Amino acid sequence: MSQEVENIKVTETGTVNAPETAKTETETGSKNSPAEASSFSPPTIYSETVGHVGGFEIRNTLLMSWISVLFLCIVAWRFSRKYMESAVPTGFQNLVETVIEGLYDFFHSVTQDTKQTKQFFGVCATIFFFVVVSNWFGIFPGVGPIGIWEVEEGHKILVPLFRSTFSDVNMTLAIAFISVFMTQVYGMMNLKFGGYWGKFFVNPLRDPIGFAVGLLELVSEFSKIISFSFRLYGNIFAGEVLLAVIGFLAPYLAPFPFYGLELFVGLIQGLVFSLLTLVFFKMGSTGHGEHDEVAHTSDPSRDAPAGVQKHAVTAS
Amino acid sequence: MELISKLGINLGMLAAQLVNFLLLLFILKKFVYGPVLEKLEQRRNMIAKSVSDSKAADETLKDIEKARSEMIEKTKSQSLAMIEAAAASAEEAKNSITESARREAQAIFEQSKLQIAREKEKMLKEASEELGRLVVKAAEKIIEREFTPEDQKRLAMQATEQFGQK
Repeated sequence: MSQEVENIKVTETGTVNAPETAKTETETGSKNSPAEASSFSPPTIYSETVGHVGGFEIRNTLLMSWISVLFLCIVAWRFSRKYMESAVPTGFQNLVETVIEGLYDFFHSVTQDTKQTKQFFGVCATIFFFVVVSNWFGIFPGVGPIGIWEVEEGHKILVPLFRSTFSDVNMTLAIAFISVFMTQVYGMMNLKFGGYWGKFFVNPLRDPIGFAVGLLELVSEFSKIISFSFRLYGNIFAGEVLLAVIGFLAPYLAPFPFYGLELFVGLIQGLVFSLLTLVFFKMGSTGHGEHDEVAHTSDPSRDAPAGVQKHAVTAS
Repeated sequence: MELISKLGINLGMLAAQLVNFLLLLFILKKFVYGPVLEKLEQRRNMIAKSVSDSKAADETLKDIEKARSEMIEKTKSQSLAMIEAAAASAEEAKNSITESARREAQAIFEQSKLQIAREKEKMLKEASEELGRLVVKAAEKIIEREFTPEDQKRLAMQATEQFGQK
């Protein structure tokens, strides 16, 4: 598990550099041979607008998001037909059931509490499926190359019609908001209003250190939004850039292992996002006395999976 | 602010994605998570129930087995007792029959013995009378005269006495 986290870290740091190198490459390319430069356009940092409905601009990432949602809804609908009536599920239903059950058991091993597992399962599992499906759809052939020609600043550029959903900060930010918001909601549900906010706001006269720690935790609670959204965005955007660069340098066979890598990264990112959400839910729903044991998992990207195991050990 | 515009952050997109997620959450919860978890729960309950059912069935079977062997045991002992009782009563009957037969035989024997004794006595009496008469006739022949009734009487008496003494 820690090795996977290492991998993620590597790709994460890669994101910071990747757009830069891609850019410099195009710049040098454009100086030497203009024809080549026009054939390679790296993915932009932001998502592009592909259309308007009324005053609302629709971006390519939102189109992909709709496709993912539609796909998952169709799967859900196909699955639920005649599911409750059949005593022994077959084929497709069995597959879905196995995945759900596996995920449930996995989440349960983290929370160690049936009530909480049931409470948290919906949001965490939905994050997992949404992120994984979106990421995998994002590396479909045709996502990127198919687009609309637009003229921008005198250049004719191809605006992709589809773009991997989470290579857009808007999209990751929305999920991160959900995650952090639901952490507060579940925390208040499990610890009551006063019990939950009492973790952050400590009387400074009685416990000055606790007061400072509480404020720090409050800040870290909201910094999670940033870390959540940029981790996923960075990974997926880096993947986009990586595939574009490799595809440009060696269009045949060479991108193949990178597609495998991106499939893997897509899965791992989904797992990391949902698991971290689950861990934060669990931490938010744990009282102050027990809280200290898991407090050091608050550095989300590095310690979380190890912290999960640690927590599982202390809980058992 | 510049970062936000560079990253293309747009409130409309954010809201749209929020809606997407919540819609997905609702649909998956309604159509997948709910039914699957419910079904898993049902299956767990069913397994638990069948385990307890089979345990109960085992228990019942054991009870039945026990009752059966008890009944067999009881029947066996009962029949044994019956056979014993029958044998005892047969023995008794045999004894009483034998006894009564013996007694009867004894009675018959006694009676016949008595009768024989009586017959013998009668015979002896007759024989002695016959003998007296014969003695008188023989004496008459010897002396060739007729005895007077007194003589006859005396002789017969004598003969009978002698016979009786012998």
